[in-house]
This record gives sequence, C-alpha cells and structure tokens, in this order.
Amino acid sequence: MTAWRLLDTGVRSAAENMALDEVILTAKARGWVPNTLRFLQFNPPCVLVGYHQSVEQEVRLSYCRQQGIEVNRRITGGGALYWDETQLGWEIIAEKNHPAMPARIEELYSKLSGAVVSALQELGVEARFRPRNDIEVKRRKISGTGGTELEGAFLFQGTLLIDFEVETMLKALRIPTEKLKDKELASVRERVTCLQWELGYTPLLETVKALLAANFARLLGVSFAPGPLTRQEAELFAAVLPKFQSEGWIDKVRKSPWQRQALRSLYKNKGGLLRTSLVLDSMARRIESVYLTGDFFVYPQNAVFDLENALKGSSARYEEIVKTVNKFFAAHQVCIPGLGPGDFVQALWEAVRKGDWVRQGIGQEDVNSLFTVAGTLETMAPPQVLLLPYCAKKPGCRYRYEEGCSLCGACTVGQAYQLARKYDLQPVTIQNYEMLEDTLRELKKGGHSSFLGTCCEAFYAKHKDDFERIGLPGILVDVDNSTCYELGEEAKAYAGKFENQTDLKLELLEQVIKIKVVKQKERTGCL
Amino acid sequence: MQIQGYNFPEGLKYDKNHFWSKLDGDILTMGFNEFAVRLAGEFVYVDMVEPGKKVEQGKAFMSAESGKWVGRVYAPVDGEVVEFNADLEFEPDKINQDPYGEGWLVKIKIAEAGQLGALMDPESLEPWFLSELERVKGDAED
Repeated sequence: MTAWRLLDTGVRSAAENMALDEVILTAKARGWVPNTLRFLQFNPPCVLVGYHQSVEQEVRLSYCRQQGIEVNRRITGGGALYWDETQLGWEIIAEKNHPAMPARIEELYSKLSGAVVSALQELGVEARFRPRNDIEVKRRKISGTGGTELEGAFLFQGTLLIDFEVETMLKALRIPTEKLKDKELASVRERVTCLQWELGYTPLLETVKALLAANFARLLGVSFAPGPLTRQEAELFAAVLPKFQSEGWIDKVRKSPWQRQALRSLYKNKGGLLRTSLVLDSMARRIESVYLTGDFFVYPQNAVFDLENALKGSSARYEEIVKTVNKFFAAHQVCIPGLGPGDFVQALWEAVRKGDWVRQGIGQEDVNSLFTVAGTLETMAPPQVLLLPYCAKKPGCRYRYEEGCSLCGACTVGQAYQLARKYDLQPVTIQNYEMLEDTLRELKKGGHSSFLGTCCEAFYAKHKDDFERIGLPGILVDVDNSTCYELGEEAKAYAGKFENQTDLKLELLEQVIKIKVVKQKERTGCL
Repeated sequence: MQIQGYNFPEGLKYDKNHFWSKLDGDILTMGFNEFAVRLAGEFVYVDMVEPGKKVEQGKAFMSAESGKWVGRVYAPVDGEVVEFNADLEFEPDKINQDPYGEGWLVKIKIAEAGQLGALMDPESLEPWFLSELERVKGDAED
C-alpha cells in the first residue's frame, strides 16, 4: 500500500488557505510531495468566490467589512461560499494519472465524494452524492465540491458543514433572496443541512476527520501517514502568500454590473403560487442560481430542489429552459398537483425576461419592483389612467376612505396626482378590492387597452389571477413600507380599512410613464 | 479521422495535453480536442487572455471552467498570444458545440518553430491516444 500524506493545516486565514492550495498543487505537479489528503479550517470567517467570479457581484462587501469577514478567491471553480470555523474543508491533491483517479471530471467528483458519503453514513447521516458535485442528506446540501489541476496534478476539494449560521451567510453573500425575512431564512434552511441539525449534536472534529481519512483510504486503496508541509512548500508558501493577500488577486475578475442580474417573478395558477428568484448572467444568458418557492404541494418533498439544481448553470434561452425543465420532469417521478413543466417554464421565463427591462430604461435595482398583468411591458399600449392605492393616503386624511385627493402634499398620493396631470393621465384612488375590479372592467368596457397602477407585491401575488381574469393589460409599480400582509391584516386591507400608510415609488412611477407614455407617443407622433 | 468515436480532423496537429493546433505561417491557432471537451463537460467560463501574453511549451497560460472545475490550457509551443476568441467570454459553450471551429481559444505567434516537430497528425497520434483511452475506460469501470 502506498502511503499518502495526511496534512492538517489547522485553522488559518483565507489568504493563507488559498495560498496553500496553490502551493501544495504546485508541489505535487513538480513531484516534490506525496499525494495528500488535507484538512483545513478558517478563522476569521470568510467568503470565498470561485476562480472566475467577481467579488463585487457575489459578496455584500460592506457587511463583510463591518463584521470582519475576510474575502478571497479560490483557485477552484464554482460559486461563492461563506466559511466559518464550523465548517471543515477537505482536499485531495494527487497525480492525475493515479490508477484510482477517473479522468472524466464528473466521474472524479462522484468517486471521491463517495468517501465523504460513506464517512457521513458511518456517522449516522443518510448522505448521498448528488450529481454533479454535491453531497446531500434528504435532498439538502451538506457538502459542495470543486477542483482544479496543474500539469500532471489535480486538487479536488470540498466543504463539510458541521454547524451552520444561515443568517450570516445570507447577509454576506448576494443570494437571490428578496429581503432577509424569516421566510427566506426558512427557505435556505430547507435547502441546506449540517451535521449538527442531522445528528442533534455537534460531533467532535477529530472524529469527523478520522472517518473521512479512513474512508478515503479504503476508497483509494492507500494508507495515510500524518506529515507536515515540506521545507520546499513552506518556502513557496512564503513567496506566494503576498499574492493571495493582494487586491490584484482578490479582485482579479471584474464584470460589468449589468452582467449579473437578480430577478424575481410570481406565477400563479390553480396549483398555487410559484415564486422564482434567480441570478442571471445576462451576457452569457445563463441561470447562475435559482430558488423556487411558493405554496404549492410537491411529492416527493424537496423534489423542487433537484429542479433548482438542474437549472443551475443552464442556458436562459427560452427553448433551452423548456428543454431543461422537460428533461427534469421526464427523468423524475415528481407530483405537483396543478403545476406542470409548462408552468415552471413560464415562471422562469417571466423572471428571465425582466432582465431585458433594463434595456427599456428601467433601472437595474427597479426591475423587481415592476409587475405586469395580462400583457408584457414591451408590447403594452400607452396607459391613460393611473390607479393609486388608498393605503398610501394618510390615515387621518378625509380622503383616506373615499376616492380623490386634495393635493395637500402630506402624502405621496398628491404628488402622484400631479405626475398624472403632468403626463395627461387620469388619476384614480382605489378604495378597496371591489372598486378595483369595477374600475378595471369599466376601463376595459370604455375602450382602454391598458392601465398603470401601483400596489404592493403581496397584493399583486394575491390578485394576479383576478387581474388576468379581468384581462386588462397593466403595469404595476411596487410601493414602499407595505406591511399589511405581513401583519396578517389583509382582511382589513381588502375592505379598505387598514391603518398603515404606504409610500408610492414616485421616481419609478415617473420613469415608467416616460417609457410607456412619453416615448411611445413620441414614436407614434402623438405628442 | 475518427479514433474510437472521437473526431480528429485531418490537417490539424495534436499534442498529449489534448489540444489541437492549426498552422498558418508563423501563427498557430489552438483549441481543446473533442476528447478533452467530453472529459470536461460543458464550459461555463473561459479566461480572457490579453494579446502580448508570453506562453511556454507545455505550461498552463489560461483557464477554462466546466462544472466547478478550473481546467488549464497548455501552450503547444513557446510564443506570444496575438488573438483571443472574445466570443467565448459570453458563449463559452461554443467550445462544446464546435471545438475545432468556433470554439477555438487563442492564436499564438510561434517563437520556436523547431518545437512544432512534437505535434502529431491524427495518424501518429492514434497509438498514444488509444492507450490514453484505455486508461480512461479502465477508470470509468472502477
């Protein structure tokens, strides 16, 4: 049996650990060191982006600075990760043509992950490999892997979540969740797991390391002998560490801010509400990551995480989304009453298409504050009416419970009235849901072919199917400070009796008016 | 020429790092061969290489990522990069779709013409490639 080195580099900084990756891989490529199993940990906590990622697009830098979270770049591929001391890193650094190593990358992932899977099973966790490169427990990710190579050597590495601080991770990374609300924390918690959650206790790190080493030894048919960094490695480490501490390395990849777009959509039908949150690489037209949540029923439970996984890294072109989704449903026995492949395609496509609104003149940060009903932004006719919600009026205002506005200037409704007049739109305040439905029907009957309105996202989600049923195409602008649905006061809101005051997004409203009313009229020569 | 189902177009030269080269005077165009592409899976990122970058035979000078794996591109000869396939920045999967055409990687101005002798045409590549294939197949059956 060949002896491999078991190298435990202990708890180190992000730059030190990243430098050591390069050092050991180089040392292996030059034939200086034996094949190696390395264990690593991080302190201070850090965010590590993948080799080809851009820090500013993946990381909430101000939060990280404030919290003392380091930021660095891996030499391996994949996505950004948050690391703290509750995670264990493991790496295999070996020669590519070692008889136990598959040449095909997917097979290498699957084979080497097998050692981690069996180690976790010995600990009493039902782990399994999830192609292409994750390890999961009941469809929840517990370990991710990645790798790289140099000449005749490769480095394959993985994380193992011993415990997990979801909230800090969400704040440190630009994960495509909407806001840091309890619901999103819960939805991330549903998708990941850690040994602590699975076992109900935190296993000793030494136990986990010993199990991993024993399983790698068995899988590869090798034995491990503990050994330190060699003198050559230590010298190389001292030489390359400054590079890994430099801004030049950490910010090596810069991308246009347009390139990474966080986009959301809401899709509703009889099967329920489907919320899509995705990150689009708008240049490569690729879905980088996606969350599919909502109130629909799925069997087997968590099967939708497999769909998210299948979509990760896939093409965002319509016909390719169709292919990816159809292929997933054909290959998996998934039951989602009322929602089929076509519904998922539509939901994804609605989110992807929002990326193009930037080209129409909507600000990048505003695309998720706009919703459309019964039509698309691009094709909608110029609206002639502006519908405003009563909840933006002051609670004590005499117009709070009746249509109209005195333009006193004490709330954003008056300013919206002035906007409407400036651009020749008719303002109407909507006092309750029935009035909205009646107004839309009357507008439709009266020959209007579109409307512009404003409401909160929760209202839009709740009534999306009602808007579609009425069938008058419309653009809806989100409001600020909307809490009635979160406070469970929607029955009062429905009847027009909710006490909270929302704020209209006046700048965005004007931007939409300029795009849909002014520019369109200019084009048709009506102004 | 087909070798065990892998296409190795005639007129191109090949090396043992699984790249192809096309010669045109003192300019060499290179890319991944079909075998390398199938081993790697779908490419999602390719490093942009600035013209002027010096490269050394057998040494890595750029990276391409497929499925969380950062693979390296090794220069077939010493020289200097004169052009990078900028389309790959936004469509890296061209490497998968058309490795010998639109998926080309870089053009290199050859510094040492004597090194070209190490490159092989499909016929001379075949015996080595078959042994390489044997190794990979053996692994896949583990």
